[in-house]
Amino acid sequence: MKSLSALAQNYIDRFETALETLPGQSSRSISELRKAGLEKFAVQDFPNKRVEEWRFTNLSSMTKDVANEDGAGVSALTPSLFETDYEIVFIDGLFSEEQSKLDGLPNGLSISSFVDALENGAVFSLNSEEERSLIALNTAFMQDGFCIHVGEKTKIDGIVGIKFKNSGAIKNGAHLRNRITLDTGAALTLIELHEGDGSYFSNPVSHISIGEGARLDHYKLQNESVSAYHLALTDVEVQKQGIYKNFSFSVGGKISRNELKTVILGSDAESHLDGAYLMRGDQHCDTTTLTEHKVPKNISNQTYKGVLDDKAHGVFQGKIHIAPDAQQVAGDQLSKALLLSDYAAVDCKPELEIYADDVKCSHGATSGELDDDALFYLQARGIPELEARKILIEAFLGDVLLSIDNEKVREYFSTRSAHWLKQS
Amino acid sequence: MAVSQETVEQVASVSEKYKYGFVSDIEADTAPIGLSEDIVRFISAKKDEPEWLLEWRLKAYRYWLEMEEPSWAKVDYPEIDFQDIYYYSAPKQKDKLKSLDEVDPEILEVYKKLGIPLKEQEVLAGVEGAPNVAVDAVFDSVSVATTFRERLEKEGVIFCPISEAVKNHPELVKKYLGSVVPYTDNFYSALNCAVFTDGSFVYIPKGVRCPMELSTYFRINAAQTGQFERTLIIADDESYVSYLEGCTAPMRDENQLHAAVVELVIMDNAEVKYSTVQNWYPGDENGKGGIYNFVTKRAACRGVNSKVSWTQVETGSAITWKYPSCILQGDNSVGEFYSIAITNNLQQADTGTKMIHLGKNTSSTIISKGISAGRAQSTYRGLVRMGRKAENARNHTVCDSLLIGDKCGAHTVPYIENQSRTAKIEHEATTSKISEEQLFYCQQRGLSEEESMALIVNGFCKEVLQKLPMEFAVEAQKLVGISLEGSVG
Repeated sequence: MKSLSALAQNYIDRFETALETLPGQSSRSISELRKAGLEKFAVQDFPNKRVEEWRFTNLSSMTKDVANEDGAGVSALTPSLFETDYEIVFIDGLFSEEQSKLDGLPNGLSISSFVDALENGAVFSLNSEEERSLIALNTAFMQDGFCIHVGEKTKIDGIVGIKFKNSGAIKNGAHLRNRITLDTGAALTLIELHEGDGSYFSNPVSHISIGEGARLDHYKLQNESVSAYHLALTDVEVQKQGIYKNFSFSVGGKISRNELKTVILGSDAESHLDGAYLMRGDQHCDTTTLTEHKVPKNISNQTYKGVLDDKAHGVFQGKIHIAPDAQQVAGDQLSKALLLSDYAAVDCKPELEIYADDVKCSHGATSGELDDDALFYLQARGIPELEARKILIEAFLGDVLLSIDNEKVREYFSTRSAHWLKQS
Repeated sequence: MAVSQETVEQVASVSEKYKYGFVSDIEADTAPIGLSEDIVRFISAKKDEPEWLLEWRLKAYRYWLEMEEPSWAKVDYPEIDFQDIYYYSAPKQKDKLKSLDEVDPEILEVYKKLGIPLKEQEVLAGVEGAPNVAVDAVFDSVSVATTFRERLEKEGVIFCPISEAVKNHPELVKKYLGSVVPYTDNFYSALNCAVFTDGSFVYIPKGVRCPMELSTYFRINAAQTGQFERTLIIADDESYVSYLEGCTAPMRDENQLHAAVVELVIMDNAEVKYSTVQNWYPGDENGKGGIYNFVTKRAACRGVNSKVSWTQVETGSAITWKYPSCILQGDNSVGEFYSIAITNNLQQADTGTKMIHLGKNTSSTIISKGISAGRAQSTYRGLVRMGRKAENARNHTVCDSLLIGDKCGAHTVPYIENQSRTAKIEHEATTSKISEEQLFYCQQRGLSEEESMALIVNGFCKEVLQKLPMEFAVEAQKLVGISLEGSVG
């Protein structure tokens, strides 16, 4: 048998002890589920470069470094300035009731922690065909998370914020299990803010279900510490006439990966996945998406833009899968990356897998440096080179940021990208 | 009117079935079935090869034994039993041939039937409108005839079967064989290195522009054999050659394996144009029979300003697995890839290219047109990699897929890796079907649905068809129509 990575072995070794402290230990079905997750993970280990979906992202530094080390203390993190109407806060992977702001939730909106949800009999599962080892690992060790439910025809006005404050205390991993359910005709705007200090491993897994005619605007700021590993997986199901909009803004992490799987199960449904990533130093940022069109007549699109400086490495892997007979589907995909340094690199794999003929699908991918002519144009008008470069980068990011419908979020992300540019 | 005449002919040929599916009864010399070190030694001995080549073959064979069959391609086929294949089959010859006249008339008949006259006088007299092309005819495991050799020798061009080159030009073969595709490259190239039987060898000396098109015509005839040919083309400084390759096989219920390796070496300011019309037997409409075409083709642009252009029309084979690649090592070198892949019935094609940019100012263009009909699956899989030192490198990729019918699939899997700040990469891809309006427009003008389809598809492929040498372009255009036969209604 092939030997497991040190980190994987570490997980397997401490599983029995962990079982006693992890939530749901009294429930047999949860313990069984955790065991099934561990078994699956033990076979697969952490993904390595031989796994096709991970050919561009190498986790060997994590699986070697992180294992068996105790983490440092609680973070001295300055909290994010973004104001939300309702807030659920996790500190080092655990729900913090004091810091959360959950009073006066409107009718039809319920927010609870994973632990509470378990006590109330919520059912969690692991698909027997699941091949992603990080989901198996998460299932074995899920420790906390959030459950959000929006009732039928309830449209929530404000923004729900989920804040994650991480530190070295979760060096060996924080495995959060989240669930968002929108009933028929419901609408919600949500922002996840991931921040941290020190070296740690964050592994959130979210399941989102969007009912008929429901709409979710899902934003995410990934501003983890530059020595952290952030490997997030989000699975979304969209029913008839449902709309899922996701925008991820990534600036943090040593190695980060945002994996989104959207399954469209009803006609006239839409999925829009967009994002921007700004990386420098030796940061590595991976965006992997899979959009599955199971039925006819719906649309999906994706636009991702990246700016890479120093030795940063960007990855975009997007796949549109159209099932047989899923006619009249429109799928578009665009990935653009800007390389600011001689040592930056980008890998891109925009993939189409199509089994129906009456479809319109396209994808585009470009990468390169700033346009010399545009730079010259600005300089000829008296704008210093450094300033001109900033203007061009802002313009490059501008159109994808414009796809953000929520004005407050759009401004916040624009400010963050301006802030990032100021540091260069 | 010339156009209407052409249309009439095209329409006539559209209604032909796979017309190369006949079997010829030719006595053959065959090695025992199966694969072992003894078979490798047997092939080497048959070819009277020097020790170093046998050693190389054995190394490849031993390496191959350790390898696993690749499974990453989007193709689906039952496991191949490598022990159930004849690795060597050659038409029996009595004595050494002195001239073409002594070639077995049966074989000449085969090539005549395929439209490839091997008699130079016929070619020169323009019989049957034969093009002015030098041909190397590879029949099962061996090369049976090479035309126009004297004419080419005058220019210093070497064009001969590779088994002969091993004897007559060992220094060239030793230097370049396996230098572009080493035996460690992949499963099928390792197998090819161990058991390759023949193929063409071309050397264009410094400053020579090859006076005519060179061509190799591959024919599988014997049952249960695999064809493993190896082609090596070396274009020295400031030279130019255009090389064509065609292939057909009889209709059989069994699947036959074809695992070839093609290596091109291109020096300073040289250019190679490599065109393929691949028309191996694709199997019947239920997917029975057909050739497994697992081919490794690679060009190394070693010199500055060197250029390689791959053009392929892939219409045959039950399964195609082929990625003609360019290693753009020399500064300012250029790589081009133009491809049409047509799959019908139950055919599967996983094809594309690799453009590896290493030198400065290198540029590459990829134009790929995939057409799927019936229950076929067609995949474009391509890699564009810009190395750190590939300053100002450029790539432009267009891959379009056309779907005909709702039971087929078209897939695009591009890998784009950029490590060079000054490099520019553009990739675009679309997937669509033939619109009702286009079909209606043609039918309104009196064309049947099938004819309209062939016309529209030809239009879709035009960009690539134009890149083929003229004689091939006409042939390929017809082929497009034939391959799609039965895909409507």
